Amino acid sequence: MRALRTLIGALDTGLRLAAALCLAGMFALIVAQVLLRYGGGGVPVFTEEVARYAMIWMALLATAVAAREGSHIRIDFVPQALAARSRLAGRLLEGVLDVIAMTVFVTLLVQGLDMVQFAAAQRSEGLRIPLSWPYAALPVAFGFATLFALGRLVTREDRS
Amino acid sequence: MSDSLIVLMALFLGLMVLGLPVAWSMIAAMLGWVAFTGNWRFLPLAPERLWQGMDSFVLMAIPLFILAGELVNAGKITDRLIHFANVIFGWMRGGLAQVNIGASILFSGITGVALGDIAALGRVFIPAMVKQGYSPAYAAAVTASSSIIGPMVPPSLVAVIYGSMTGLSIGGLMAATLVPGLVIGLVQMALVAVQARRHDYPRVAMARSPRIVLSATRSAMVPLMIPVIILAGLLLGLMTPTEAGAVASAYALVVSVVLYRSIRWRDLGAVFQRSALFSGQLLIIVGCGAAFSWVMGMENVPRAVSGLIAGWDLGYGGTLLVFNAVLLVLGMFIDPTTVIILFGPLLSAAAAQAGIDPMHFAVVAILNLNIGLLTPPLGVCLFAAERIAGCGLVPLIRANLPFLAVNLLGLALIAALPGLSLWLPGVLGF
Repeated sequence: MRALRTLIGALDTGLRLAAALCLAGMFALIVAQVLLRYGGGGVPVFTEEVARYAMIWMALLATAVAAREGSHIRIDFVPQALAARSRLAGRLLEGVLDVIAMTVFVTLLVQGLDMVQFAAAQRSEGLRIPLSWPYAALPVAFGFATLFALGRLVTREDRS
Repeated sequence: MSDSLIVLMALFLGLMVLGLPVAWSMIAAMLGWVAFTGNWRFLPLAPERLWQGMDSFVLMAIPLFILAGELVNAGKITDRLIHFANVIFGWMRGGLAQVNIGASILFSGITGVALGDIAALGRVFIPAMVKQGYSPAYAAAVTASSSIIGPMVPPSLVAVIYGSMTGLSIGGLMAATLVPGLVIGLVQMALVAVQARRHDYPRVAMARSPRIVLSATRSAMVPLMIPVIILAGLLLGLMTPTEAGAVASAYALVVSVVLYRSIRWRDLGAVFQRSALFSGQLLIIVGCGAAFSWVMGMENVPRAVSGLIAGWDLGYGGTLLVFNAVLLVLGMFIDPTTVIILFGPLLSAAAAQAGIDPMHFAVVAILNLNIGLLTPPLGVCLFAAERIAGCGLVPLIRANLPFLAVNLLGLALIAALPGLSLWLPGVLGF
């Protein structure tokens, strides 16, 4: 159990770093695009496309991180009111919600893998890279999210 | 309503109310709909639509505006603005309360997120106001209430999100929110002026020689260039909103890391991580929302809603009133950006059909939803201000009531007079 927690902690750090790097890359590309346009040179065709893909990778990796720390935007009125009445009922509700979220993650993981396979033959408009590269963000992010959701379920029971 | 639509909406609303994150509530409802109708061949559309919903150049403005705001917060650029606000607004009776509101107007031009305003300004103003004899609850009420000016005065993240969801011009939206944002600031300042006279609140004692005013202005110019860069870039058509966000971030980065050295290189990673995380939390709702709206389209929801509104026959004023009531209730429970992502396109189209100018409706909706941050049961801004003031929620809600009243009065004015919103974008040619 402790090994699982260490693994999840390490993955979490790595994902945060990767998401931050994607943001930095996207930021740099857009700044470069403005500088090149007003600096006289032409704007390469790929900056916009790569920046867009970097944003999607960033957003999806951050989604996995947020799933781990339970920080996704939600209405927490009912869970909090319930937990205040009875800790057990509150925990039970959170457990059910985690299972539903995990169902969503697994669906997106499986369907996302299909999408990646299907797109391997297609190429992007700008850089002509296989579309499976940007699409891979989906199964990667929801794969991690599934693992994290599982970890939340297991470690929560571990604590009680 | 067909059975499958009932299943879809019941799942979505039920799961959301129970506390499942908004994004997953939409996908889970879609899965339930697929299972109920037996249309398993639509399942691959969940990740496809999610992806396409996020794959847009305009959406990149969201993380870049968030990054600019985080850099400004981490760079403590606010101190200069607070000094400037003291010089400009502090001479009035109830000086610190007026400065608090004035600083919100200036500061909001930079981050444009109400909560960011409370975090940055509340920590400074609430203790300072208490030291001068204001009650903690009153200090918290002024801070919370003035924070909603943030999303109104441009450039604001909420306007960026509204524009990218509905296809309205983001530059136009920023122009449209400016005058109404100032109106809200003015009605709050008027209220403080009346209260200050009654309770004899002190002025801020400091020398205000022309030289001091000049030097305060000069040091405030550096952070105030951020809204100027964004607005000039957008309104003159030099940059797209995405590019304006990137340039503003680059400016904030250079100012705080190189010029002021208020962010150390090694702290920069944390700033980028926080921005990425917050962006992800918003963008995933945009993506899942795209998948969910595809299902709603299959169920003909947009057409049904516009048919319903046409059938009401309430006329212009009645429709505006009903929409405001709907928005106020939504805003009491869900935060503004989420409401805009979820319902913005639908409501905007419906309002346009009732003859309401979409730009005017956008301003009304943004203000209205932000007022929801000041009302129970989910007044996020109240909670944040209370946490700093430690005054208890009930006294704060009571102290905030007059502010809520003038904010609603401002909303009524802005809803009744479309000219307040539409004049500036008209002049600028949007």
